[in-house]
Amino acid sequence: MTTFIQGLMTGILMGCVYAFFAIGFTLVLGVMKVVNFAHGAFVVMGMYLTIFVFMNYLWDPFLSLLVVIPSMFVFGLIVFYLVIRPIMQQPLSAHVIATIGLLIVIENVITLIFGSQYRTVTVPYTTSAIVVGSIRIGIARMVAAATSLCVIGLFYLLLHKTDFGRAVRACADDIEGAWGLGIDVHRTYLIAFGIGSVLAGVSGAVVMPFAVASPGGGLDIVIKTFVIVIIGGMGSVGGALLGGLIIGMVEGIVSALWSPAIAIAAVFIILIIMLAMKPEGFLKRISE
Amino acid sequence: MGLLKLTKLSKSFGGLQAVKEVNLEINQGEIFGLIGPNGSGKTTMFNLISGALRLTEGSIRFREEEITKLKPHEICKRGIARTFQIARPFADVSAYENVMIGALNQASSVSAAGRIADEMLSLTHLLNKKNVNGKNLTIPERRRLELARSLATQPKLLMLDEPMAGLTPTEVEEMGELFQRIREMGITILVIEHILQAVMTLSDRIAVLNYGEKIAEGTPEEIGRDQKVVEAYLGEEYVIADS
Amino acid sequence: MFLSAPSFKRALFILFALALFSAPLFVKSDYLLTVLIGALYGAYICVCWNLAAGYAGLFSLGHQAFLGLGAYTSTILFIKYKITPWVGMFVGGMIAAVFAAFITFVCYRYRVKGMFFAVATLAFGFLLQALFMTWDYVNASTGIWLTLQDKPQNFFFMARAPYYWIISGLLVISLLITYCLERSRLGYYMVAIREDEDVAESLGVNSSQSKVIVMALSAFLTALGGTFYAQFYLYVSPACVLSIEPLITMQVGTLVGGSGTLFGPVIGWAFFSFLGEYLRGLPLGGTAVGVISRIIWGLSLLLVILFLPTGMIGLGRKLVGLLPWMRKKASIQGTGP
Repeated sequence: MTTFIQGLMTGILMGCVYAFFAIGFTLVLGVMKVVNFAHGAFVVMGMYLTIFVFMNYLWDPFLSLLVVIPSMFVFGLIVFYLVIRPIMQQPLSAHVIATIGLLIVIENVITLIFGSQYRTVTVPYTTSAIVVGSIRIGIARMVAAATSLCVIGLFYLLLHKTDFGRAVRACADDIEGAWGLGIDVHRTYLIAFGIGSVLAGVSGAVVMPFAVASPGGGLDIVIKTFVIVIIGGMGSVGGALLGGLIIGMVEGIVSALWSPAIAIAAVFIILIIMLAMKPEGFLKRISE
Repeated sequence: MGLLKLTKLSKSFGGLQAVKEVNLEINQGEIFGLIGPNGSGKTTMFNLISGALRLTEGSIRFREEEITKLKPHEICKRGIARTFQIARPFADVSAYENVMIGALNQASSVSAAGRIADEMLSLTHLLNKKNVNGKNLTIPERRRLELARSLATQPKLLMLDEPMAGLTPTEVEEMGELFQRIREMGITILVIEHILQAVMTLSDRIAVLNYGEKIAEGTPEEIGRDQKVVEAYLGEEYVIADS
Repeated sequence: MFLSAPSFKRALFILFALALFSAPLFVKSDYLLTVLIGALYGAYICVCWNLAAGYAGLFSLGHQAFLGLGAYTSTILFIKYKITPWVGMFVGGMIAAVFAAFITFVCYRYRVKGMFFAVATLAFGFLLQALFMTWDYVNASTGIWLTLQDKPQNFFFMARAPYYWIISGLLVISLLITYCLERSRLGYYMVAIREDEDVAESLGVNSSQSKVIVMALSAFLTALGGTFYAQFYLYVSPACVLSIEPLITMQVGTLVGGSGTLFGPVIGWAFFSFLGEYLRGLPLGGTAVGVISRIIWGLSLLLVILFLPTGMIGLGRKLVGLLPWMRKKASIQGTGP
């Protein structure tokens, strides 16, 4: 029983973090209809920027956000112009190949600079935990989960309470209509992609206190993100949270009771069931 | 002899009833016209008959066989072909290959299909455009291609959705002649059309739909005199010229 | 069907096949042969994937599952039941075909199409990999080693040349199958389905059945490649035959070369093979070589998508269309209004 609860608790916390990984991806997918496999690499970039800052200045990951956020935004703008905009008109197969190409380039550049060994960032609270009975909840994870929830909330507000958010939702819904309303669709796409990149990078930074980074981790992250987005609904923020929590909990519980490999299998079985029953996901898109 | 029999055919989309308990029987060898204002359910009926849409209620019998639950390709195999309101040729494929694909429905081999394709292209005066890709054809040419392609499936019943729209009067006349040729081939025609002159002249019988219901059925003369039809659709000024 | 092809095309293909088969007579270096075998293997799985993705429009992101099913089936049958891989190969192929048919059928039954189909196959691929990584019967993630013996009847050869000929043969056969498919009834149906599935159905095309058949065929052939992999590289593990790596090979070669074309996958993968070998030969010092070559690899993927969306074959066709005598031919055929 305690294993179950331990798995559940870890799972919920990780679920929030996974949801955070996913919102940048779902934003880009919902607004621009582009599947960005390199999203996972963006997350890894956030991790390594944090590692870099830590290695040289010993800053806490949250402090290094001062570096991560602007860097990822600028990087996102560049990638948008060079890669994303050209492939938007092309079919899915082009998105897949181009963004996988991008993923390969990013991850290998990181390997060139940092080497392929695992790296971590150790902060004062890395190993601390709250212990209740035989259940151990890491402080670092809790902080990450809390941050994730805050960012998701803020992002939701951005989408629904600001002019920019309205522009984004309009573009996601009906491009012609958006133009008609005087919205600069290209600029909206550009900034949205920049924001998506920032979200990815920050989500990577935020897990560094407890996670282990490796250059090749991007693909696993983006695949998991994909599953979350299918479950939750493409382009839906609430859906990303729902999907993240479901995946997190399933992964946590199954890993604890059986093994991590079976957990992966379980996640994919859920995906297959979702595709058959409700491929559009549980929640509605950004526009609605 | 009843080729196609629709009994209490109904289709609703959520709250909207697009087709309401339509009863209709089309006889072999007829040219049957289906008219009605926009949105009266004509194309929906085509979609129901061809299997593209599931009906909500009723039954469809073709040559004494219940085809209500069959899939589109099964219905085509049994001899019902249809064209679309906006022509949908296979864009990056030549006219010849477009028609071949239709011909493969009944043809025993690829080469036999090729021969049928040539015949149909010749019938619709498209032989000189044989190697032109679908997307490079003009609109009237695309219409003729749709026709050729559907004919190539060797149907018993050919359903045409507004085949005359956008054609010049000469082209309309040519299309009319084509209809007669098709009838001579033993094919029954069910045609949706807005160009009343054409449909009144060409059809043996006509049914009129309004808001998904059949409000009249009969010969063109009967329809032209029917008060309900005039009110709903034809307008007060319409008069059939004496034949 | 091949016999009725235009004679110059037939001659060209036979020439290609002959050149391919005669290579071991000139190339004596084992290293070079191994490289060629690797390249041909890559090209082969690209051609197999192209059948499903290029022709049938079934963008399968889990095709490596069929590779793994083939490799593992023949290997297990050999190691545990002493059945020769020559037979095991076909058993593996059948199993892969059944899985493929089932997945495709179920997906179409539940209207899982396009991108969702891609995701479903992705899930299947990962699922299979995860399962094999924990299944002790197949030695889980450690994998299974095969010992090389001088037993051709068990699909083992001491020299490289026989392996070369086998993979060349597989490649030639798969190209022939693709060629025949293109011109068959099923091939035309595939084109129709790709262009406009609803219209195709209204013309009597049973799209579900057509897709199932092509996917099953593609899976069968891919599985044969899996057995070849096992017998040549002598090691099967979830990381080799069930991971995303072979899938990326299949996609890259096919999409870069031109999907839905006969030689596209071969040319595309040949390009990447040579690129890879060229990069490996460059003096870039130590471990950085592998990384830099992968960066260039990734960049070329990007560049091809950005500038060559129809693949190299598409580019080739455009260039050929620019040649003076070809341009004249085009206008007779009336490609304009």
